[in-house]
Amino acid sequence: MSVAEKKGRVYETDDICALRGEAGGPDRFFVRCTLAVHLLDAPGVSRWGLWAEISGEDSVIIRDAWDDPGQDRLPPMQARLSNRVQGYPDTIDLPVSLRLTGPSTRPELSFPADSLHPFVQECLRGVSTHRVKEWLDGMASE
Amino acid sequence: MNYSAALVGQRLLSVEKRDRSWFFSLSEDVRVATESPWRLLSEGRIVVTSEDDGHPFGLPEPVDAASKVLATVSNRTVETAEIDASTGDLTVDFGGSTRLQFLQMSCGYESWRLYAHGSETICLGAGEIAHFLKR
Repeated sequence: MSVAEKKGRVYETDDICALRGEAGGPDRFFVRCTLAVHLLDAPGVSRWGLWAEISGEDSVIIRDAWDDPGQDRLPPMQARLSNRVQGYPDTIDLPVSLRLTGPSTRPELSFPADSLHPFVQECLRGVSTHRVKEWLDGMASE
Repeated sequence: MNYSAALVGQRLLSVEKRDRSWFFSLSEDVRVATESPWRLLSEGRIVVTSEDDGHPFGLPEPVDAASKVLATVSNRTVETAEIDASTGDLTVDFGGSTRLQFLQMSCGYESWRLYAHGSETICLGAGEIAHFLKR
């Protein structure tokens, strides 16, 4: 997308992105989230930062609840992954569940337990710190 | 775990304050941005902190924190960079006991962000670290 086209069609911040539909197509909405992956050989988690595409209806719900301290009581929303993760079959459009966590914290993603996608399975199982380093090396070489 | 390898070998080129945000630009398109406190240590003492910027301390000119940082580290390269596993504080070590520390002071708000080669590492509230892919 050219800079001029982007200026006319895209609204984006560090947290959200809205893309006006082409030729009368539907607008698209994206939220920047995190995905926690348990570490198998160390305390805590490693977090991916990923974009998720949400429906227009959910974009309104999220916008209205953005500063609401009680937003974490909203039910999870169905969304789709919007990043390609290197080293796996295409991860675009993988189904995810999106949950709001609070006005000062990013929404969290989780994968359905029955997915057969290798990235999902690895995230659900948890990873070693060595594997996280491999992930980071992959990000750096993109 | 070393989440900050992109900083190693880099030189600090500029330090800039815009509104409440600080921007530290290093060579090879690596940057650190923060709205949280940071401090520069050298030879076992605090050289300057973000809290000192603009304070007169009885001197002819108020403290220019950016200039103090550049004067201290401009000829050095980053030897190591580490993230504290508990707090998320980022310590950038320029060798010779000179360290630049980016602090996380909140259980809720994000603090420093490291931009390197298009990806972004963010210190989340409470000190967790998240790695964001390119858009």
